[in-house]
Amino acid sequence: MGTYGGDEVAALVLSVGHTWTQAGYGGEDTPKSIFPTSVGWVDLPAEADQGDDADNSEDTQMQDVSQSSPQHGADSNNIHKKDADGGDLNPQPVGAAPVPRKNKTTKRGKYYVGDGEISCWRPDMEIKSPIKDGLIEDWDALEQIWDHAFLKRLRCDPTEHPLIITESSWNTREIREKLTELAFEKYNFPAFFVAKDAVMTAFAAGRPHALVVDSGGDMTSVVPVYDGYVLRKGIMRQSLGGDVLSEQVLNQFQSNGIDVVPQYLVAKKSPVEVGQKPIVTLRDRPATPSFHKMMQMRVIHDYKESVCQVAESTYNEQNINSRPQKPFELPDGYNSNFGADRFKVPEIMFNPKDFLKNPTPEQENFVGLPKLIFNSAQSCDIDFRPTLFGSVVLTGGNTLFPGFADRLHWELNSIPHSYKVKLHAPGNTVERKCGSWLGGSIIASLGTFHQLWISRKEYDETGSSIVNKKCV
Amino acid sequence: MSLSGVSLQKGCVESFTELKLKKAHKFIIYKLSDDLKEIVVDKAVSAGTYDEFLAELPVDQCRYAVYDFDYTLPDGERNKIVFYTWSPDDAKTRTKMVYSSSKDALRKALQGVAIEIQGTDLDEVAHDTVLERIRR
Repeated sequence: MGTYGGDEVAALVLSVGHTWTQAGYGGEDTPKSIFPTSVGWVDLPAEADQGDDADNSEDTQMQDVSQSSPQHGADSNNIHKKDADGGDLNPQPVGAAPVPRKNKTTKRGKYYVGDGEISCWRPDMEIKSPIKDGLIEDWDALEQIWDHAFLKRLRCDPTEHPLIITESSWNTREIREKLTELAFEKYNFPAFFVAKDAVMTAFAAGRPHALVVDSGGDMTSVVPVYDGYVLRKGIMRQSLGGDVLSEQVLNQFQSNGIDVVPQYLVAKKSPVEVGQKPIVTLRDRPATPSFHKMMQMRVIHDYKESVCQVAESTYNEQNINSRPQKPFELPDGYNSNFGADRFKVPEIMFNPKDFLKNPTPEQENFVGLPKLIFNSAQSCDIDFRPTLFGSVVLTGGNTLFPGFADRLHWELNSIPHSYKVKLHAPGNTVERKCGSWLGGSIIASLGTFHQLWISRKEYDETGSSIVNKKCV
Repeated sequence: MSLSGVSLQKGCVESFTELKLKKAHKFIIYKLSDDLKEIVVDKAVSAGTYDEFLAELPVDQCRYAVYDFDYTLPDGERNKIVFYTWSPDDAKTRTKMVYSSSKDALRKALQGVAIEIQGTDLDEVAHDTVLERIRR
C-alpha cells in the first residue's frame, strides 16, 4: 500500500463554508487567509458565443483571467483549461433570445473572488455563494475559490503539499468523490483527506463524544458525534442562521422608514443629530440586486456585531426596556440608539415562533435552538444521551452574540430532562469561528497522520471512490 | 485505526490485562509520548483510593485512565472497570485534539471495560457521578 510520507512539508488546510473560506497551513493555530466564499462575476452577453465576431469580447475576458493569475507556469494552463470546462458545463442553446440574468444558460465572464474584489462596485456584477445548505452547488465557482485560496492567497504550488479539507456532516458521496477528483486531477495534490467539520470541532474541544451546535450564516445544525463518528440519524438542521437574522434587521429598519444605504452608494455625508434624516449625496451606481443585497448585509453584519445582544434568561419586555441603549450609525450618516430592537433579533434563534416577523412557509416550521438540540439528542441511543448532553460544543459565528452561551445553557436546563448539561463555548473567537479548520490543521500536522492520507498512488489504483473508504 | 494514526506502545495492553485478571493494579494512567507518536503507560498504581486517583489527573494536561471501580450494593460487592478520557478545558487545543482523535486506538484495544467516562472537569469524574453511571 502506497502511503504518503512527506511529513516535512506542511499540509494545506481548507475549509469552505457558506459565508467564509478559511485557508492555511497545517500546524498553525489560525488560518493564513479568511475571505468571503461568495464570488462575483459578470455575465457575458447572451449572444457572445453564437456569432464569431462577438467571441472576441469573451477572449479578452479569458486572457484577463490568465494574466491576473500568479506566474506558476502550470497554473495558468490550469486556469485556461478550467475556463474551457466551465463553458462546456453551461452550453448555450442555439437561437436563445436575450436570456435574463441568473438564467443558467448565460455564460459567466471573469470571476471576482476575495474581499477586495467582490466588494468593489461593478455594474452588472452578480454575487453568489457556491455553497447551499452545507453542500456544494456551483462547482465552477468552487474552483474559483480553490484557485484563489491556493494561488493568490497562500501562493503555493499545489503539487508540493498534501491537502485536507473539511466537509459538512451530511455531505453526499457524489460530492466527496468529485472533490477528490478535483484535488488529484486538476490540482495534482500528492495526497488528500476529507474530514467532517463536526468531528474536527468536537476533537479540538477535547471531546470524542459531543453534540456539536454550529450556527453559521446560512444555517444552524446540531450534529451528535460519538467516538469520533457522526451519528447521522441524529443530525438536526434548519436554515435559520445569521442571514435570516440580518434579513429581519433590514426589515426592522425598513418598517421604521429607514433605508439601509450601503457604503458604495455614498459620495458625501454630513453629521446629523440622533434620529434625524441623513444629509447625504449619493453616487449613481446601478448594481445588480445580488450585489446591493450583499453590501446591505455587510452593514447589517456590523450592526449585529456592534449592538445586538441576547437576553440571559427568558425574554422579558420590561426588563429589556430597562437595559442600556446602544448607538449605531449607518453609512449614510443616519444614527440612532437601539434598545429593545437589539435584543429582539437574536431572540429569533431561541423563539422563532414569536420573534420571526413575516415568516415564509418554510420558516414557520423553525424551532428554537434549545429544542433543536434536545431533538437531536433524543433521536440518539438512550445510552449516549447523558454523554451528549454533558458535552454540548458551541461553534459558528452566529453564536458570538454576547449572552448567547449563557442563554443557551439556561434554556437547556429549563427543558425537563434528567441529564446534566455542560456547554463548551470557547471564549476565544478564533476558535469559535474556525473550530473545524483548527482541528484539521492540528491533525494534518501530526507525524502519525501520514498513514491516513489518500495518496496519489491509491487514487490512481482505486479511483475517487477511495475517499469513502479512507475518510469516514 | 484512530483518526490521528497514533499507535499503542507494547506495555499498554499488558498492564491492563494485569489489572483485569491479576488485580495487580488499582488504576493505570496512560499518556501520549512526547513526540505524540504513541500511547504509553504513565503510571500503574497497585493500591490507591479514588481521591488519590483523581489527584493524578493533571489540571492542564490530557490523559487516559483505567480504574478498577469497587462499590457495594445491598446484595454484595461489585466491581467494574472504568475507562476515562481526561481532557480539561484548560489544556492546550493541540493536546486536546491529539488525545481525543487518538482515543480509539487505546479504547478498542482494551477488552472488558464496563463504562467509559469523558471528563473535562472534576465534577464529571467524581465518585458519585461515575457510580450513578454504572448503576444506571
